[in-house]
Amino acid sequence: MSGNRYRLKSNSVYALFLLCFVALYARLFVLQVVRHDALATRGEDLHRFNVKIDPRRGNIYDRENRPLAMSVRVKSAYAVPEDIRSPEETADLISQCLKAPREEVAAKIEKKGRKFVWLGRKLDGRIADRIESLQLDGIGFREEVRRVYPQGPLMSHVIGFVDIDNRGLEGLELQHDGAMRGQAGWMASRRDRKGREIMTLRSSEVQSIDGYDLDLTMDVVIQHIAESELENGCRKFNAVGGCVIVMNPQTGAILAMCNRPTYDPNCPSEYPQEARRNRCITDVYEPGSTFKVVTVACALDKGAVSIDDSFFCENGAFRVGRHTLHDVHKYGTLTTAEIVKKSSNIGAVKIAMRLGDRFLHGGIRRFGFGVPTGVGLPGEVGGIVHPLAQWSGLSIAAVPMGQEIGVTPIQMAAAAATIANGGLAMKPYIVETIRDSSGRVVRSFSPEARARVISEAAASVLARAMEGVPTREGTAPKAELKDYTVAGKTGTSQKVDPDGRYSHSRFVGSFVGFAPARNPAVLILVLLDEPKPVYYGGSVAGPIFKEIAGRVLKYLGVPPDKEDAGAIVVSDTGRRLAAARPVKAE
Amino acid sequence: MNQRTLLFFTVVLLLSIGIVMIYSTSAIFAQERFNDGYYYLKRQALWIALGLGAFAVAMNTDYHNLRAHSVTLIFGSLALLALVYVPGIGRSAGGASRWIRLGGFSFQPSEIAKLALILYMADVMARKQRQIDRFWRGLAVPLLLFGTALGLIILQPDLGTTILCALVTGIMLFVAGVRMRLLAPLCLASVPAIYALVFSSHYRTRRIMAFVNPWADPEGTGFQIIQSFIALGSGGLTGLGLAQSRQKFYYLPAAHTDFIFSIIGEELGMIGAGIVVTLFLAVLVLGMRICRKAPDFYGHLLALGIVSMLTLQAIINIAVVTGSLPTKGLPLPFISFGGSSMVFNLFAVGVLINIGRHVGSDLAVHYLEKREDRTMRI
Repeated sequence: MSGNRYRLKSNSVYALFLLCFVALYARLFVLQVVRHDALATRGEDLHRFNVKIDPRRGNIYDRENRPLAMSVRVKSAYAVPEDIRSPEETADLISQCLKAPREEVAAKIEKKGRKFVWLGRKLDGRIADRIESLQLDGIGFREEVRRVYPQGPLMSHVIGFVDIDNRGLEGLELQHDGAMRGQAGWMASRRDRKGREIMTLRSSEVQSIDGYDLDLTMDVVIQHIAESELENGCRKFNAVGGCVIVMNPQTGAILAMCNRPTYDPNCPSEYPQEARRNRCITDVYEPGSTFKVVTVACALDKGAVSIDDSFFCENGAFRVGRHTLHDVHKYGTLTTAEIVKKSSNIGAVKIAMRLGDRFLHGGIRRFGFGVPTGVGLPGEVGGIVHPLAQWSGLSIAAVPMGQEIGVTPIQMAAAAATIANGGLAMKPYIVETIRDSSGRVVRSFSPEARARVISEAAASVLARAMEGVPTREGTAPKAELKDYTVAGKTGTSQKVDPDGRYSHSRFVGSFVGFAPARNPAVLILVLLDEPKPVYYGGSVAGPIFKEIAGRVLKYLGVPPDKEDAGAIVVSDTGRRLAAARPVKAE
Repeated sequence: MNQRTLLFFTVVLLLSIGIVMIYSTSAIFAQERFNDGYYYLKRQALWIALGLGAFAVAMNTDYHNLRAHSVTLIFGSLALLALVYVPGIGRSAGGASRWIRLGGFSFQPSEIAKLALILYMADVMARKQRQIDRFWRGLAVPLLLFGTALGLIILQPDLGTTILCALVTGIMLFVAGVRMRLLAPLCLASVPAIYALVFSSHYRTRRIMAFVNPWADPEGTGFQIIQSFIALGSGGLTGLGLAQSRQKFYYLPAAHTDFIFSIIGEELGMIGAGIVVTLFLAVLVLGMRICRKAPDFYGHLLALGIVSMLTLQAIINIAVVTGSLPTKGLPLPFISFGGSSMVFNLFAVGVLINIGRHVGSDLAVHYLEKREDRTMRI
């Protein structure tokens, strides 16, 4: 065998190898240059993703800047079913952590071909940490914003709640959804095969804009007082529901608004729908005797009657057409003021008859009945005020005492507040300011006078007459306060049975009043739905009013205006100083 | 600079590219899995250090001295290959038993077997020049040993290394002068064997199908090769830049081992990938120069075997990641992560350089004569 021969053979092997290299270069050229665009696009499709950056939803604060609704960043767990190596074990562990049925979790993670399944959204920090520490394949986390209501059920009907995607569904959350929602940002980035973002390859970013915060006129402490007293009252009088509205009659600012039954906005779905209704603005009821103040106010304003005019109250039975009116107690002659104080139906009707139905109807409309008050909550209704043309001959004997008319609690409170405020109706409102996240005021709502409804003189004499209600001679002796003068009016109305007749077992008992009577700081409406067995407004709502008013006025630091009360409050030193002062006026 | 120095620096360049790319491709994975981004880098550096030690030893050992050990080596490596199947010593991963545990490390006996086969074939073919055309007296025993080694490797199963060994041995037999009338039946006989092997195993069938049309099942069998295409294609001419690969984020499986070349193409573009190919071409060219000028037939065959082994590995690996060959488990020499192959490849380069040192030496010729007089039956 010659050396040349094997050299020739090696050279042929060498040549073959060189050919292979030429082929490799050619192949690289095809893939990296010729097919570059197509393959790079395919890669981009695979890696690129746009991430929405959730904005922080605006917070809601009460008038002392106490948070009522907040947004916190929490984690949500998801599964990528095809990446899960041991579905059995994963289902066991996840269902333990989430305290969810195992079959439910297993069904989610065994969806073959699905790239993304939520396992649990907006989890508690401790649960999320536990799942994360398990380091399971195919389980990932995404940060989301969860709405939290630190006060729980307090003010739930006013604040409302949001859905899982933070869209407002009820209350202020719905009303100001646009302002609080903020604007989502986004970023273009790249992800790894497990769907996680590769932070170093984030290419562009648009910052999210946080939502606006709301400052309310409401007060957590007053709300708490109102809620706890309403709760006690409902329990004591076996009521199926109830409402309390506390407002400042001089500005229209709502300080508290509560309903029974209630719910926790942190978990609204766990409560029946009827518990989530804000009865103060959505429920229409016949106001009964509380409405007499409207009748009398209109008559006084028109000059149809004066406060000292006397009316014969027919000893408790007064025939109007085919219908006979009754009073609870039989009265002979009563003055206008006494009619208010004793709540005589016959007296009220006689006053209205002197006023005439046209002026009565006009006055009722001026007081704001029949249209929503515009308090700024979704779902508010206008109530029912029949047009004058539809009034029957009996209407003049029904409307003045609060029948044949439907009002909402907020309308009744606003009407009474008009009387308390000297006849000037203030528009009720809840939101004081809307601020952006840096604290700059975007919009502010100041007290707004809606209309002058009655003259100041008429309002003041009526208010004086209403001071007689919470006395031993009036219908609500239990609403009397020790330290403050109170003006108010009771109401007891029969609910309508399914057959269209007035019920003899289902009543609405209410009380609306304000204190101090001459310079009112608060107006409070209390309403109990179907109290049993006692149902008179003065007996069931009166005491609740008394408790709320007493505590709220003290909390607000309103000085007592009753003579005998002064003695208690003024210290010994103060009294001595007062005694030592020479009396010059005489 | 002489060819030996050039060859050395070519290999050093490949090692440098390798160590940078190992870090680039494995850091994220290592950080997540071992909480240490340098996990693979540190291990690779250790293996390179060990490999360079082996290289230095081989370079400074007269390659003729290896001849005395070639029979011992071939039997030794056959024994090691058998040990893979012994429970407690062998280690399986991914359905293959390819490793032997040695202290804290695992090593692949098929890597040493590869080199042992080359050393043995060069020795035996040089010795049996006169009986080369006689089947029973010349080829029977070497073929039996060769067949045994191949059988043990294929059972692991490691089709890539099997084919590589068969090709390298075939080239050596061809150059050594085995007549085509003996070689051709051997090649023909291997065809049905390979066919049976491929279609007896489900995963190999799928690999072939994926090679024929990867886009038929882009989420399944075609996944890896398509991800490799995307990596190379995204790189374009100039690449996305060092460490800028997107495909290494779990899209491309085995990014720091068998498919590291795809990431090189993605990060450094066709220019970078072309440089790597060119460096392997340089290994071939420089290696073949040494081979041609080898002082004796043994040296010539040995150099040819080593150059064929290194070049074929590179060609097959790059052909696989560019979709020109069906997927096989072969690492890219000097670059892919892997300990045993690094050490034995560097040792082989050392042997090659040592052969280059003997160019034009008469002593070597004398040595050759002396060795051929010795009566060795195997």
